[in-house]
Amino acid sequence: MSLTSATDHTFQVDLRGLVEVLSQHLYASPDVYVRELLQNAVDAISARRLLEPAHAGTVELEVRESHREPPTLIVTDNGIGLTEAELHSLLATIGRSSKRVGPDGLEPPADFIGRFGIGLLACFLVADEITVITRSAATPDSPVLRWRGRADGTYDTSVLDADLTPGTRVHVRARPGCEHQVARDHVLGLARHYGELLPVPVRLHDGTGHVHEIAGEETPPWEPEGASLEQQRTIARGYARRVFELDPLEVIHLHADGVRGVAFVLPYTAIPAHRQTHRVYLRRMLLTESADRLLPDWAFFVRCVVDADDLQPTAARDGFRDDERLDAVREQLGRCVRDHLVELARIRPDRLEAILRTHHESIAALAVHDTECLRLFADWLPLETSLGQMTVGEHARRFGELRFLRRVDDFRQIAPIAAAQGRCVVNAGYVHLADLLERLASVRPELGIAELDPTDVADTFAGLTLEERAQVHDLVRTADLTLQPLGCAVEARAFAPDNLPAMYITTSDGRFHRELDLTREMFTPGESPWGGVLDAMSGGLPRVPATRLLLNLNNPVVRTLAAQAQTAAEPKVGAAGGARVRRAVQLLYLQALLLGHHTLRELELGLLNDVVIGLVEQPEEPRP
Amino acid sequence: MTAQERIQNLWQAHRDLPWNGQSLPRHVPLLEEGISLADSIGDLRHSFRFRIQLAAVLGNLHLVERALVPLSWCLATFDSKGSELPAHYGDRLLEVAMTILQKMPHLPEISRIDIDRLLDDLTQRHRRAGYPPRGMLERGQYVLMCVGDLDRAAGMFAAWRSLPRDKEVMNSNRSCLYDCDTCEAAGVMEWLLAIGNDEEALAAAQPVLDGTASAFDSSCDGMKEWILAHALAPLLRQGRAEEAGVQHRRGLRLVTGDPSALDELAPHLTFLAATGQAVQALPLLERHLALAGERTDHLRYELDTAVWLVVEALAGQGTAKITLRLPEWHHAHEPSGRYEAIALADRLAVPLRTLAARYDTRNGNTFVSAQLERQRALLDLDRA
Repeated sequence: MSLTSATDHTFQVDLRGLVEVLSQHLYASPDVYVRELLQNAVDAISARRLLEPAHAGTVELEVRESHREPPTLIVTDNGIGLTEAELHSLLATIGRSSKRVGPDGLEPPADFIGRFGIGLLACFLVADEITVITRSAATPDSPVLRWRGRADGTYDTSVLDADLTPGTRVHVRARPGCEHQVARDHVLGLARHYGELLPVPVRLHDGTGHVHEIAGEETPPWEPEGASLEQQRTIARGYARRVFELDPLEVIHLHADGVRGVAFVLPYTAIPAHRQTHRVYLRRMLLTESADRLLPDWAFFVRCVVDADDLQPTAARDGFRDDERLDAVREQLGRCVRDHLVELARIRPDRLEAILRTHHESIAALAVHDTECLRLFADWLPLETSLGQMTVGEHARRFGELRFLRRVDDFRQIAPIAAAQGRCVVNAGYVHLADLLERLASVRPELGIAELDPTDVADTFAGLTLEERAQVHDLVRTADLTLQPLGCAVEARAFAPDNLPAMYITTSDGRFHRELDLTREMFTPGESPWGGVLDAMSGGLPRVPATRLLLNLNNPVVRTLAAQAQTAAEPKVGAAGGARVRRAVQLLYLQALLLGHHTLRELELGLLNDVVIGLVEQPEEPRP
Repeated sequence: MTAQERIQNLWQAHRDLPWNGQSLPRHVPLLEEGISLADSIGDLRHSFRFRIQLAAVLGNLHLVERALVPLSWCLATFDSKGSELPAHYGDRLLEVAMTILQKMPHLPEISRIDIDRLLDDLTQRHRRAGYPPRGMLERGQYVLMCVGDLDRAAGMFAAWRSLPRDKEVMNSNRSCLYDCDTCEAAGVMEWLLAIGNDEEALAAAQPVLDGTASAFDSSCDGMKEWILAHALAPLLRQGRAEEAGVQHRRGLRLVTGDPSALDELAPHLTFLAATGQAVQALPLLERHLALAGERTDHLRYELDTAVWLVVEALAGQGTAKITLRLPEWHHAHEPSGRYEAIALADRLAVPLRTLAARYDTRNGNTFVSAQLERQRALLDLDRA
C-alpha cells in the first residue's frame, strides 16, 4: 500500500476524560482551581498595567450559597479583559495561553505568572459549566462578552447588553458532589492559603456584607519595605511563629538571582537525614509548602520561605523544574546561609555559639567542605575525649596537641588506658569529625592535630628496662609462638591501669580479615555460591598481620607468668610448666578479645573449650 | 548505658545520617561498632540489621569486596535462622544482594560461572519471596549486559520492558525492590548506550535533561547525576556539543568532591578531554583521584579511563610535558610530578587495556574492550 496524499485532521478531545486525567495525574487536589483562578486574575491585572502603569488592580471573590442551588464562586478582576477574538482563541483551545507570548509577540514579561493556559481548565475539576463575562481594556468601545464552556467540550459566546467596567468575571458553579470544594469557608481558606501574599488586593465578600481581606495587607517576610533591620527580624520571627510554628534561633535573609526569602534556624536539633520542607512562592502566589530540595543538603538545620520571579514551575505548578537555573539558585541560597554564619562569627559570636550548641553536626557538615567556615567555627565544635567532653578551643588551651582516633571501637579500647595515664585522646569516630580534624590540621597547624593509630599507642607506653626485658623474654617468646596460628603477635610493655593484664590491638584490616574468616566459616564448601565467591575473593587479598597482644608488666598476673615462663624454660622443669604458661597466655588472649567486644572465631571457641577442659582436668596441687 | 541502649543509639545515629555520597563513609564506623556490640551480646536482629546496612553502604561506596562479607553473613544467617528474623528483613536483604550482584561483573577474580550461579541464586530467592519477576529481570539484564552477553541481555530487557510496573507492590511496604522513574530511565538509557543506540538513549534521559522531572519529586539519590554524566558522550556523538556543555555544567556541580560519585565524575573528565578542555580537567582529576585511594584497581576503572583520556588528549594536542599530582598509591606516580605526556598516556593505557582483556577473557567476548575503545574514539570527534 502506498500513500498518495496526506490530509490534515483534528483530534476530538473528550474534555471530561481529560479533566479526569488532570485531576488524577497532574494536580494533587481539585482545590487548585482556586489558585488557578487567582492566578489568571493577577495575570490579567499585570497585563493591564503594561498599558496603564498606574492602574490599581483588585480581585473580588464572592460565593453565592443557597439551599436550592449548588454554591457558585464568582471571581472578578479589573484586569486587561478579553476581546471576542481572544475569547475564541484562548478559551476555546485547551492549553493555549495569552501568557506564552508578550504583547510584542516575544517572550512573556517576568510578571506574568501563568505559563500554561490551563488555568481555566482546572475549574472543570469542580464544575460542569464555567461562565466568563469580560470586557477588554485594550479598546475604549469594547463590548461586554459572555463565554459559556461546558465539560462536554462545547461552548457558546454572546455579546451582552450590559454595563461592565473592563475586566473579567468568572462564574464557577459546583458540580453535584463537589459542593464542598466551592463552599464559602473552604474557598476563603484556599484563597488565603494560596494568595495571602499576592501584590494586589484580594477580597472575599461573604454575602452578609462582611468583606474578608485576603491579600494586599500582609507584608511578605522577605521584603518589609522601609523597616529597620530589627523590625525586619521581628516581622520575620512573627511569620515563623505563625506559619512554621517555631521560634527561630536566627533569621537569615536570602537573596539569589530573581529569588528572595528568609531562612529560619530551627530551635531544636534537626535530623540530617530528614530534609526540611520549605514554602515557595512564585510571584507571591504559593507554589508549594513542601519543597525539600531548595537548599544544599548541609543546610538541614533551617527552614525557609522564598519568592521567585522566574523559576520554571512544573505543569502542575506544585514545584519547580529541576534545571540548571534551580541548581544555581540552590547554590546561591546556601551561600547566603553560610555567609550569615561567617558574619556572626565576626560580629556576634554569642549568637553563633547558641546556634552551634544546637546544630554542631550541621555546622560540621558545612565546615568539612568550606575552609573559611572550618577556620572560624572550629573552636566551638564539641569533642568527646578520654578525659570528658570539651570543645576544640578548650582542648587547645588545656592540652596543646590533639590526637584523635578514627574509630569508636578504637577509642573505647584506648580511652581507659589513655585516661589512666592522664592523656587526652579524641574520639573522631563520629559523623564528620575525622574528616574535619584532618582538614583542620592543615588549615590551623598551630593546633597540632594528628591521627593516632591504635597500634602506635603501645609506642607511647614507657619502654622496658634491660632487667624487665630479661624478665619477660621467655614469656613473650612462648606467647608469640602460642598465638602465631591465630595471626597475633605479642609484645610486653608497662602501662596503666595496672589491673589490665593484656590488651588486644587491631586495625581495620585486622578487623576485616577477622570478619571475613568468621563469615567463611558459616558456609559449607561447595554448597552456596556466596561461600565460593568469598573464597575466591579471600585468595586475592594480601594478608598482613595487623593484630598485637600487649602484655602489661605492671600487672601482677603477667609478672607471675613471666616468672613461671622463666622457670619453665629451664630443662629440669620440662613440658608441664610450659603448658601451663601457654594455657594462661591463651586465656589472656581470649580475655582481651572479649574485653574488646570481638566475636570469637571457631578456632578461638575451640581454644576456649581447651582451656576450660585443661583447667578441669588439671590434677589438684597437693595441699600443704 | 547498657549495651542495648548503645545499640539503639547507634542505630538511631545511622538512621539520622543522610544517605548521600558525602555522608555514606560516615555510616561505616557507626555500623561496624553496632555489629561488634550486637555480636558481643548475641543480639541476632541487630547483628543482621547493622550488617545488611553496612553491606548497602559499602556497595554504594563501590567497596564491593568489603560489602560481600556482611552480605554473605546475612544470607547465611537468613538461610539458617530466618524464622528468628522479621520477614521484612528478607526484603531488605534481597534488595541489597541484588544491588551488589550488579557490581559483581566488575570483580575480575569472580568467574563467569560464579556470576551465573549468583544470578540464579538471587532469582530463586526473589521468586521464593513472592515478588513478581519484573525487578529481577531488570537486574539480570544489567548483569548480563556488563558481562557482554548481549543476546541474553536483550531477551531479558524485552521481558522487563513488556511487564507493567506493579503499582500495588510499589505502594506497599515491600516497594524496596522497585525503581523510581529516574532509575527506570537510567536502566533503559544504559542498555541503549551499550548497544549503540544513542538517539533513543537520549530520549529516555530527556525528562532529566530538560528538567521536566520535578525538583521536588522524590527520586533515588544519585540517579539524576548518573544520567547527566552519561548523556555527555552520546550528545557529543550526536553532534550536540552545546547541549552537552550545558549538561556538563549542571552535572559536574552535583558530583564534585563526592567520593561515592567518582564514576559519575569520570564522564565529565572525558567530556573535557573530548572537547579540547583537557587542561581544565587536570585539577579536577587530581582532586578526585585523591578520593579513590580505597578503591581497588578494577573499581576505579571508570575514573582511570577518564584520567587516561585526559592525558591522551593532551598528548594528542602536542603537549610534550605535563605536571600532575598523582597520589602516591597510583601505579604511575612519580615523586617529581613531571611527566612526558605521551609516555604517561601509554603507561595509563596499558593496565586499562589489560584489565579490559581480562574481563573479556572471563566473559568470553570482546564487549569491555570495545566499550573502552568507543570511549577512546570520543577524542577523535574533537580532532575531526
